Amino acid sequence: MKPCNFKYIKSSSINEVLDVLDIHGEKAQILAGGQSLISMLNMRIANPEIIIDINFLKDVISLENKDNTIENWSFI
Amino acid sequence: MLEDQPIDCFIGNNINRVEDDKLLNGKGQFGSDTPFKPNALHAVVLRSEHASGKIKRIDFSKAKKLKGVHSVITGKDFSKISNPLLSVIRTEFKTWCCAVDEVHYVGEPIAIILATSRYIGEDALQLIDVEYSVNQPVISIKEAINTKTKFVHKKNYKSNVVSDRNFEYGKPNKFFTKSHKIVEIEIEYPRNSCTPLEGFVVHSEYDKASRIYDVKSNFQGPFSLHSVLSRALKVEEGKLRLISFEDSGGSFGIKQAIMPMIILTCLASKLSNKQVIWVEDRLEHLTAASSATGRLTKLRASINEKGLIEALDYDQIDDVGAYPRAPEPASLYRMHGNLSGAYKVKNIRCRNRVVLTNKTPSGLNRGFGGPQHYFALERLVHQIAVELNLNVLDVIKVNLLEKKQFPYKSPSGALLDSGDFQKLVKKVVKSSTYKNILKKKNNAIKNGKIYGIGYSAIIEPSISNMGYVTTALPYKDRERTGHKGGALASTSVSIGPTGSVYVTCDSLPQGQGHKTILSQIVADVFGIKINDVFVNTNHDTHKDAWSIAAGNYSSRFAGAVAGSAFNAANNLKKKLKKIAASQLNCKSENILFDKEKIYDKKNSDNYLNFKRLVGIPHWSPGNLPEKLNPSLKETVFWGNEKLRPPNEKDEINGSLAYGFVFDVCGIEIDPITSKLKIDEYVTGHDAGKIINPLLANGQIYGAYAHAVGASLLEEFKYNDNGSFLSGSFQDYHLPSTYEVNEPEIIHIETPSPFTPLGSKGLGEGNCMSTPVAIANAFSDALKIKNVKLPLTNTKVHQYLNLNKNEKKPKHINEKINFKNYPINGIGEFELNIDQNELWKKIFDFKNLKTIIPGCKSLKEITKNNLNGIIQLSIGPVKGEYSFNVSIKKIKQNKSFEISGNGHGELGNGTGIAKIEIINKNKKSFLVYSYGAKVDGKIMIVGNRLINSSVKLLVNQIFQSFTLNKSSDETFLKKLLKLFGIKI
Repeated sequence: MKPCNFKYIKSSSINEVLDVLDIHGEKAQILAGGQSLISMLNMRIANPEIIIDINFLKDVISLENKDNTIENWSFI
Repeated sequence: MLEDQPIDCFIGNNINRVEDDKLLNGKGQFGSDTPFKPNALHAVVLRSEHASGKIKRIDFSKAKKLKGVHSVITGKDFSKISNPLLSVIRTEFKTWCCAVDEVHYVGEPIAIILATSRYIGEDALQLIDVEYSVNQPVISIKEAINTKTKFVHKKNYKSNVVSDRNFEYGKPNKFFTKSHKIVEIEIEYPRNSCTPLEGFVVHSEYDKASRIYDVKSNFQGPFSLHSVLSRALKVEEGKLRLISFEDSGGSFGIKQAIMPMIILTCLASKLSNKQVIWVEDRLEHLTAASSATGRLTKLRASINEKGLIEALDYDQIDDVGAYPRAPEPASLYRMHGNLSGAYKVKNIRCRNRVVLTNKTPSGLNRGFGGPQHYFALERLVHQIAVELNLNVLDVIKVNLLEKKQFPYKSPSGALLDSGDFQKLVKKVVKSSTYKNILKKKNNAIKNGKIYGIGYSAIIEPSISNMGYVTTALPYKDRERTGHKGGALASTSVSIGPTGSVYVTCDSLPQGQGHKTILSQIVADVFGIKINDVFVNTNHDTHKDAWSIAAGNYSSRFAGAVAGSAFNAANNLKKKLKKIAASQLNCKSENILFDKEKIYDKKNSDNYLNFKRLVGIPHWSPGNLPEKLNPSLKETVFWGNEKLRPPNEKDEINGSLAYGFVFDVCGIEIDPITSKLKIDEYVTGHDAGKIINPLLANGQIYGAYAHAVGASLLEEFKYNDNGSFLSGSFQDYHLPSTYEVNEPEIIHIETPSPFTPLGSKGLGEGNCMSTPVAIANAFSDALKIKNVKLPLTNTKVHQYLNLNKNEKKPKHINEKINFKNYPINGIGEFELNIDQNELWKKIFDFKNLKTIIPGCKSLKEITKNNLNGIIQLSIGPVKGEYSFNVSIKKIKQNKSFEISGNGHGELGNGTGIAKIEIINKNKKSFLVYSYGAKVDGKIMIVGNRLINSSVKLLVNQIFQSFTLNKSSDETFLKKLLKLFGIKI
């Protein structure tokens, strides 16, 4: 890995992610699984100023049983 | 009770790999794990974005100012302190490792940036501005042959053909003039590669005091290239020390192509006086490392009514890319001795041409020349059966060499060492897989499914004759430069004072399991445990024995290197027997080594422990019988006199051992999804003595997986513009377990009389046999003659719809020619608004700015000439581009043309569009056609996205003009971001 210099934000809530995206727009990039983003960063094809890591976002790593239906978020 | 063979024999048994514990537990020491000096500099390569052109200007000023950037070294700087690369084929142009003035392929190095870290180097790279004057490149083989104006090396050459040789063996003319029938096939084999996990890594250091270049790299040989390297560096042999890393993340041949980067990093180290580190990334690897050659072959056969081939006529053209870099044109000549394949044919005519194209230079890749060669020969055999209405298997059987013919000298000079082809064919035909294939085809026909069967029968050469490539030169040239032929393999075996046995060899393993095999062999010879054998495969040209043939290539390990280990261990054993005989008071011929003990065969109570015996020469060297030399180190250089230089008749025995592979496959094609599924596959191998069946089958599975990739998915693609289109695994698709079924493997063992253990290579066979077996099955399924790999879903779809015409828009002016624009398209819309209104809308440039999303500025500089800046993105890829467009040939309310170009850090593009308003049957239509070309990184990694997006986008823009309401901005916005380099 040899990406450009970027600011790393380890997000703690969905609202925080949305705020960062709202303020920085396309300069910010979400890091989820990273399958495509990491190699794009490595090859310097993507050069974001901010990386918002949502891997530790509890809100999106949940699996809930609600009234006999399972509600799961994107990280499951 | 006691036999002369160890009781627990390791050779021939499934011994688990001794390498794996370390590798699977993440303890491997690969190139990038290897430490370097704290003040080392990191190299970053500036590469050409264009396939052909002149470098007009390079602006390094901003890059050099960046803190941490040590220096920028250009091709010109390098050329002043080095020699161009030596090549087998003499050319009038010079082969530099770093472009001097002109570029010849996308990815060609232009300069090296040295920085204190890779990060800083990459930052600097983004600050460099290169201006080119771009030429039209030569891309296809046919174009390279036929053109009278476009040459890869313009200055010095008047043709793209750098080698053209004709050969004749036997009396081919006699048969072609009065044959029962002539069958012909034309094939085009694509460029591809075996893509190892690990890319190139090199640590180079120039020692000012000793003037020695110390290089640690994953170079794998052949070490004949050591001379090429040292000559390029202008040093004598000993002043270039090559050392390998501890572990390798695979190669499949391609790491031979690290050669130019060894040179550049060495020179950079000399200039900077620091150690220089370079680690290749995947983008660099796919774009510019190397590739198998592309080949165009026309092959004709004169046959009799039974399908017996009487004569062959080859016309082969190899695409070696922009430079014929050594060891090329070896791809074309490795199979030269066995042009006749596994068959009896005695009469062969052959024309071999080597052409240059504006692509990455080719080099070693698993199968090396075999996939290309057998694709033609085995497609031909299939076609013979089709045209004579015979069973393919019968045609193969009629032509196969018979057991009694071995050792067999082929017309072009190969000495096929051993074989029993009929036995293997019989065994394969009896297999359950083969029976299933036949059954399934029958059922498929009944049920209206598309099913095909393909066969291939190939000779797998191993242990290359280092002289075979000189067959590319005329005899008188070989006479002048000195005949070259033969190949040596070397191994050293030594024994320590308490019974540990050490082995080093001249092969640099790339994952095959050398340590396991050498341990097995040496442990067997001494009757000791595998754990007591310590194999060190870190090769060092200053410490280890090596010859020009050293290295890991041409499947030379099992037959040659492992054989030399067997011989070295046996030589030591002879000496130990004499010592043991004196200790046990018996005859040395009665000494037996088994279970860590040395016995008197006649009296098993009379023995010494192995540890005790080997201690004697260490502890009392003066006390040995027959004044034996106490050395317990034995180095064997093994070779075989059957490998001679090509003779005056151009006969060449290109390899020492020749295995046999016989494959049958059944494929099914889904007419709805166009998916080709390999339904069943059986592969039969005769590779002589198998040392370790577990590892042998591992090699076969690996080669099979590579071959499935080559057959169905993998291709290094270039557009007409010379842009490389396969720069990531998004566009260069590898097969996964989903595509790769498990083939049934069948072995027979016909030992080679020429190798010490009777073993032959088997790691490349399926790369040669499988692509053509699949192609034959495809040909059988769809009854088509021209099969081009890879058989991707798209291509299968095209084949399925060969005779169906595509729908074309009605009002398109067919004369429009966008030949030089790889991305192009046409379209039309019925107008829902008044023509005047449309015209106004288009020519209202202020409005246009709001219609083009991401457009930051748009100014009319002069009448109908606009400049602007646009922000674009494809997924996470974002960039700012400046562009200018001009509108020409305006005919009020009728037609106009737009042309323009854009420039940004990820690439450059130019485009042209023609727009017409046509009235027909009281309706108005907007008709457009456009062409665009895009270069640079963005095209290398995103061509699929760009191609399809541009089409969608352009369509959308014009549609938005024709509608009398505000367009769907968000959708348009998304699409336009994908485009933008034009307009």
